[in-house]
Amino acid sequence: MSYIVIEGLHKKYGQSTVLTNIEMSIEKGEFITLLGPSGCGKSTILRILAGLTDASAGKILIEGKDMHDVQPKDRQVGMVFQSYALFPNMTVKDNVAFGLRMQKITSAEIEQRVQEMLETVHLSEKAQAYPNELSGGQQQRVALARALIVRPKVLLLDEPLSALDAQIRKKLQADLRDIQQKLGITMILVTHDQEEAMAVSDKIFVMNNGMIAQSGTPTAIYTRPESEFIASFIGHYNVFTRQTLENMTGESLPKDYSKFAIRPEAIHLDMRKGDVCMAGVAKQSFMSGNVIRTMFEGECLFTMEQLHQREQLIKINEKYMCYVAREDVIALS
Amino acid sequence: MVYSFPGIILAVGLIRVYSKLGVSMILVVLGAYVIGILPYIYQGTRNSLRNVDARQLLDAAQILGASKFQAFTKILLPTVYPGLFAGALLSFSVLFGEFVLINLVVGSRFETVQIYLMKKLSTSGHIASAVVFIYIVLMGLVTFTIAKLTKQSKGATNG
Repeated sequence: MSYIVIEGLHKKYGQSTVLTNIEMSIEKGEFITLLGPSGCGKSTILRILAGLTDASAGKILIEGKDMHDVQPKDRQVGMVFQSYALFPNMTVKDNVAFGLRMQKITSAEIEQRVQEMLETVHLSEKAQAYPNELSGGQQQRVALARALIVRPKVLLLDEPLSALDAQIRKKLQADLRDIQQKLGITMILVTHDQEEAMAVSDKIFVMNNGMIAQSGTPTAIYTRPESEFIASFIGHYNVFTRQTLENMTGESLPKDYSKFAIRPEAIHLDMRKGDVCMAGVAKQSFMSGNVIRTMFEGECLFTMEQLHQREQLIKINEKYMCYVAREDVIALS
Repeated sequence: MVYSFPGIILAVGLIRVYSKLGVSMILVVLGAYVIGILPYIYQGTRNSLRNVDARQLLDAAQILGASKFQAFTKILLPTVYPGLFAGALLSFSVLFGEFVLINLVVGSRFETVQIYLMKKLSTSGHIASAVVFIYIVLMGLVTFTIAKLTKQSKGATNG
C-alpha cells in the first residue's frame, strides 16, 4: 500500500463543487506536484490533507492510518504557506523552535536541532532577527526550516515560491529539491507554474476544474499530453483540429480523434525521412531567452521554436515548408 | 451613538429604565462604560490584526503541533498585544475623566477620582490642587505609553 492514499475525495462549498473524485497514491520520499490554473482546487487538497478543511466525502490515509477525526496538530504533516505565515512576534530562532517546543523536547536538544536546521537553510547568522527584517527569500527559508524541523511525514508546500522574483525562485527550487533528496522527505508542492513543476517533481498531477486531468512523470506529461487542456497548459503546444491538419499536410489522420497537438520545438525546416510537411508564411518572429519563436500562417496559425542560431534563418513574409516527424503529431482525446 | 448623546441624557435614561428593576446602579454604569469603550478596544485590535493574516498564523501554529488554545495565546495574543494594550489605556483615560454618568446615576456614594475631587474642592484647595497635579502627571504617563506602543507596533508590522 502506498504511503499516502487519497480515495474518492469530494469537496463542496455550499452549491459549488471544488473537488470531484480525487484519487491519488503517493510513495514515501516522492516529490509530488499538483499543477493547475488558479482556482482549480489544488490548494484545497493540501488543506484537507493538513486537516484545516474537512472533505465532503472521501478518505485520506497516511501510512495506512485513516486521518478522519485526527486534529491538525496530531497529523504530523508540515506546511509552508505562500505568504510564509511566520510568527511576527518571534525571532527566526523561536519561529523554527516553535514546533519542537510544542512537543516538550528538552531545551538542549531544541537548541542543537535549531542550529542544524538553520545551517541547512543557510540562515545561521540571522537567528536573532525578526521576520520583518528579512527578505522574501530568507523568510521563505525560515518557513521551510520551521516546517522541516519537526520531521513531518509529509511536507505540504502551498505555492511557496510564487511571491519571489524569478532569480531567487530558481535558486530556491534547486534548494528545495536538494533538501528533499537529502532528507528523503515526501513533499507535495502546489503551483501554477508549469516550469517549476517540471523542474522539481518526480510525479505531476495536473488539475483542472477540481478534477485530475492527467498524472505522470514530468517527461510523460510533457511529451504525451492526453487532452487539449494539458497541451495548452503545459507548454506552447500547437493544437489543430483534425480537418485543419489534414488540409495542411495532405495526410489522412486517425478518425477517432478530433484534435491533434504538435510541440513547437518538434517543427523544423529541414526535411527528414518520413516527415509530415506543412506550408506556412512566416509572420512574426521573436526571441525569448535562447529560443526563437516564429509564428507561421498556413491553413491556420502555428508556432515553431528553435534554439538561437548565429544567423537568423527565417525571413518574415516568406513562405516555408515546415516538417514534423510523424510520431510527434500527438492525438488528443 | 453613545458619543452623540450628552452624558446627562444618557444618565437620566439609564436611571429611568433601571431604577425600577432593582439592579445595582454601579453595575448599570459599568455596563454603560463597557459599551462606551468597546470601539476603542476594537479599533486598537483591528489595527494590529490588519497587517497579519491571523487565520493563516493560527493554521500554521496548529500544524506545528499547537492546540487551538495554544495557538491563540502564544501567537495571536502577542501579535495583537500592542494594539490591545493601547486600546485599554485609551479607554482607561476616557473613563478616568468621566464624571456626569457616575455622579448622576450612582451619586457620591461611590468615589471615583472626579467625585473625590469635587468634594475636596469645597473643603480644601490644597488637596484639590495636589489631586489635579497627580492627575495630570498620570495622564501624561498614559499618553506617553500609548505613543510609544503605537510606534512599536508600526515597526513590528512594516516590511
